Amino acid sequence: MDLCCTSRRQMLQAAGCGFGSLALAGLIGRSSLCAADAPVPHPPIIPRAKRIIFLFMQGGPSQVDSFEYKEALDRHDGQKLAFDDARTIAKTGNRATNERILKSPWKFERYGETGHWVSDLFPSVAQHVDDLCFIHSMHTEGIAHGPATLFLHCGATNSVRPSIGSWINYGLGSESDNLPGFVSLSPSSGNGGTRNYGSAFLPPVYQGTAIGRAGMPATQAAFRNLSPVTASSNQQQRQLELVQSLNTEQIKRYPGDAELEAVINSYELAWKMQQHAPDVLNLNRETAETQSLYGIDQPETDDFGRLCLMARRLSESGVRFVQVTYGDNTANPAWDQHSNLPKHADHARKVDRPIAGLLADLKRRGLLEDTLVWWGSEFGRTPYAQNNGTGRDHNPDGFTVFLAGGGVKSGYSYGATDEFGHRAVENKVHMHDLHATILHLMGLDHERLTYRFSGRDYRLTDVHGRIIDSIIA
Amino acid sequence: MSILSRSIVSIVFITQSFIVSWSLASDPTAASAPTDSAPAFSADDLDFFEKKIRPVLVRHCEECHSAAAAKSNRLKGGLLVDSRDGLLKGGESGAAVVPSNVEDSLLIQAMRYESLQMPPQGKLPANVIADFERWIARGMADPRRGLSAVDTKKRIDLVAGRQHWAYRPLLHAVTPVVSNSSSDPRSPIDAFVMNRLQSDGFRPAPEARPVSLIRRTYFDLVGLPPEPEQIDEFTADDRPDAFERIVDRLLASPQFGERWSRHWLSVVRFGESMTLRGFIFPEAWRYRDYVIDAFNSDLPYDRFVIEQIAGDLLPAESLAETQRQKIATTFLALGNNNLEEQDKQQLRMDVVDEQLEAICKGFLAQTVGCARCHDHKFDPIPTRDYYAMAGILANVKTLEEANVSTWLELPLPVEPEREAIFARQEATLSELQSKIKAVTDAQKKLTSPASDTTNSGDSSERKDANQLSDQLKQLKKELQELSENGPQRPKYMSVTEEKQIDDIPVHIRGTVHNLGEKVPRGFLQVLDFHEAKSLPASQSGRKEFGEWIVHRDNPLAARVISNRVWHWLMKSGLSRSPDNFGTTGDKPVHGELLDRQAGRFLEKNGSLKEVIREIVLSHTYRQASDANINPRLSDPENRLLSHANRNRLDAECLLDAILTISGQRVDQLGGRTIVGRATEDYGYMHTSRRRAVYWPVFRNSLPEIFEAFDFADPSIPTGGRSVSTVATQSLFFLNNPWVESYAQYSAQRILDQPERTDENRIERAFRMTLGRPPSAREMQIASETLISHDSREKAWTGLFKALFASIDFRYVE
Repeated sequence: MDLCCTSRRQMLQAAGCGFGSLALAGLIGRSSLCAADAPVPHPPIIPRAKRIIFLFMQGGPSQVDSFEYKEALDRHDGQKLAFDDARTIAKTGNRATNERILKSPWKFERYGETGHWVSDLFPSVAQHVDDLCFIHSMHTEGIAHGPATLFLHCGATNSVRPSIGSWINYGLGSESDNLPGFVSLSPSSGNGGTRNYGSAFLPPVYQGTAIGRAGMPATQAAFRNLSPVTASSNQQQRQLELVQSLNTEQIKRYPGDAELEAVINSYELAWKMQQHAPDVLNLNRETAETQSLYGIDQPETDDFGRLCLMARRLSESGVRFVQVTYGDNTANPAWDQHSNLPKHADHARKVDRPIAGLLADLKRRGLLEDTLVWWGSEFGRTPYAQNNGTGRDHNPDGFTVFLAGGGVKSGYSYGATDEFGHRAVENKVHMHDLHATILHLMGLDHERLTYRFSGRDYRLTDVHGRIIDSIIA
Repeated sequence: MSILSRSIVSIVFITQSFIVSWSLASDPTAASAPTDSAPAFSADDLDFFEKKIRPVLVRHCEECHSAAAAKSNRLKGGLLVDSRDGLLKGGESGAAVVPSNVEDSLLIQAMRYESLQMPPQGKLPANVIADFERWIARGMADPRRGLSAVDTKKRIDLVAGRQHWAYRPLLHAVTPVVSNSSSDPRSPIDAFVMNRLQSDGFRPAPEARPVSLIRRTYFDLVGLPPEPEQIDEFTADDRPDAFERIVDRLLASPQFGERWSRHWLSVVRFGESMTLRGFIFPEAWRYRDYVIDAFNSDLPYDRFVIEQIAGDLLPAESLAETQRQKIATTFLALGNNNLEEQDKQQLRMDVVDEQLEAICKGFLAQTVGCARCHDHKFDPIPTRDYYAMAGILANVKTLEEANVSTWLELPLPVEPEREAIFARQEATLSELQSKIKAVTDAQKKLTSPASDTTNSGDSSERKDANQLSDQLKQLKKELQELSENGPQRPKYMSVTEEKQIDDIPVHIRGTVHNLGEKVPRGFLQVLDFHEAKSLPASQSGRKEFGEWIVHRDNPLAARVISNRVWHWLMKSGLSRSPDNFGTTGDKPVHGELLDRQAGRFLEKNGSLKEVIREIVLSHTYRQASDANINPRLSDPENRLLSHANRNRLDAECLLDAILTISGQRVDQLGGRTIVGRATEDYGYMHTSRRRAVYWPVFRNSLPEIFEAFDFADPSIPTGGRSVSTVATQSLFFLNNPWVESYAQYSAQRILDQPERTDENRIERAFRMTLGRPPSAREMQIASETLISHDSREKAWTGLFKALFASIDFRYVE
């Protein structure tokens, strides 16, 4: 019997388990043996990570100013050399245009036992290089933010496809009864907006739940409709009882009707969520020391620190995929320094300590073992000045991401770009490959995690993607 | 077993090809045969191949380009590098190697990371590339003979493909005679249904209770709950045609179009903004109104289809018709495209792909997108067909190219009097603009270095300069005033024909930079009801495309729309996959009935209202939804239609029902509905009191009730929605401020009727929300709630909220 294509009903008959558990599982996209919409991995891959925290640096931080030191940029600073510029090629087809090398304004030093180079932009993250797994040979599709951001999240630049969080939620469900399986903290409305955490053709139950939005203070980030407009908790309880007593009366006409039972269950679950979920986002439950670790005590880091701490609390409570966006709502997002490269420092200051805090906190709690942290963006930046100016243009041909925990090697660097940090040349990793590897680490086979829509089986990685075995511990 | 037989075949094949090449080699006259044109190689060259070339091919290429790769379904680009002939023959991009010609060898270009980039994991070292260059330059010595036994290209069999149920001509089955059934057939629909039920040993369910039937019919036809008085009127009416009268009244009401347009708007992925940058489409509402009007006026379906694809190319008898037909083509411009794509050729083909998906899914339930990169794996749709149809749309201009491209807003033709007003306005505007230009030119002249040197410091110069700048300010102010407050020429979103009409080539593997042979514009070959004609050289061929789709002999379009109508009324189509009638779609259990419906549809000249009316009046539609136990167990999906399907109210119905019950619904037909002047949709506040169809479909900020209740993704053509039951929906009913305030309005409404007792009021509240009086127990629950609250208003608000949250409100029997 083909388990993936079985209807829920057939599944029920075969499995002989009641609808109650199935419905409940379906309510928040939680997996169970009976969740028939979820594919059964075959042969099973042993998961190395149970959950993911994706720190999305929106706009394209520069690899050659952060984690990939290129001494050639110092040597050739100001010289005009021939480069295959992605934007120029897309627009004109011209290759080998003359571009002026722009050296990094930041100093690089070696850190940790591995001696990985990190610039002054990330002094706190630098303390953790021995826990990180860098991929320096990333390349992706899409030269503008819109297409590349969609590609990063959904594996397609234009077509409407489910986001990676939705795929994982669909494959694994939530670990929690009270929380959704996929949460996007402070998502940006720009560059694809809701599509970046949308479920597209997967059932809507697998879409990301947005908490807060870019540009809104993290202190205001909350689940929607979790707190009632006016009523006290006593009144709320009475309201729920009123709803359920009507429902119990109404369902009598349909004895054993699974669909309607699911409605009744969904109210019970809603009630549980209402009781527990706000608590997960309540950072006052954390000690001053922990809050300080994330930089919540400093105005500059307070906002992103809160988001990172919420991410840890959500993760810890069973949310499979938590995305934290550092970005904003404009079409030229945060890290997008086409001119005025030094502005990178403002952004780095806001995120450096919170990220380091998150890594330290996960590690000391033993959570880093089975939590995969992913830091990255939709693309990187060019090692030469854009239009001979003071900033760098987008670069989808070579950039850096790092992973930590969840089954990847620590203190490891994989792949390389050319001597200027422009194009990935050694052990290239396409975004599809990264997606395939992340699914693999979560115990999902990217070739088998499919959904039949419009007559064919769709995958996150389309017909591409190879698992990067070398980075797996 | 199949693996075994395949390997036997391959062994045979290898043996044969070996023999063939051997015999050819021994025959000097055959030396020019392409498979064996290789000269005898020197031992040195062969040694070079073994040492420098073969290991690289094995290590870096064969995983994706060999017989073994093909066997494990990993063959990429149809290219085999595991034989010399494989390299010579090449893959989808043509020959990989041209012996002795390094620069023309695609393999070298790919290794150098020029056009293609191979291997994908990273560029090979320069010395390896140099080895390959040398190898090719010296004639490509390679002992690996014969083409490995792989069929890299499976041909689509169109003749066999035509046997698929959806492509076959409509079957005109004789209406079965049903006897001994518990209910009498009211129409041929019932005869087909009951006949099948009987042969499977089932009985049709009895007719639903009048209170259930009236509620169902109201929601299905006009998307609104019946008022208590309307229910009473119906239940009290004992004329035999009482139901028919209601149905006719509802079909004639403008609210019918407001409901049914939403079905269609989901199919055509109607949205009023783009997710990218949140750009608002200020003119999309005209298309929405066009659809509402098309349903209300019962525009024949064939017209409806052609107008959307090619309305701008059709002759018109009146200005109103011209306007309507042009607005219909907004359909083509609604795609949620990525205007930022920097490769504009790519963007162009993405737009074409999106339009083709909307057309083929919407009108034909075909998933042609697969054929963009390769022949369709399941359906008889070759890549050639894709580019034949794409060729039509590639001759249509949808976007104005720019760094961030823009969609087209064209002037809508207007009456001559209005045209004169706009023309005058435009003349004044351009006059002002030329005056501004004259002043700016004068300014430039004044400040240019030439005048500087001769007249520097002259006070009259300065006076002149001041005068000019005052003049400029004044003119600019006038211009702004006039362009903002003067008459605005109405515009509509659409496309235009390209000036140069041409066929397009196949895009190999879907990439815009790797083009194959040109394909004449045309349609799906599997549907051969119609002799293929070549499309006009002076037009894109959209009009012919539309005409072909709704051609009376095209069985597919009639089946698709008949199934959609069935789905919208019965909550499940006769085929359960309304957007996919391909081989992976759902084959209808009631195939004869679907064909009968399609035939009927054509007979009625594409009148949707006639078809809807016939279905609604059938016993099959009127059946009760609570099935007797037998069919429920053995036909759990109700494919045999032994009872009515229960309907969970969709987002639009929920919204409209709550607005209606609260007495707050504002009825106004059509018009622009986006509030304010924002050009981006982020954070839009939806505050309308009009029906759901008028709430802007903003792709970044849908109304919350739409998001919570499975509204179709407005970027994907959707004929059937998901139905989920999730906690967020319950939270919406328990805590959402919008629900709270409309429950409050409902409470006020009922409290404003002082002559009633609380018991009367409770009864009315139930009839308003659930369309039926409360049971004794419900009455008791409601009464207790009222007593236990201090504030009457709060108590009633709570009661309405609970009613909105209850099963019998959210589901229609």
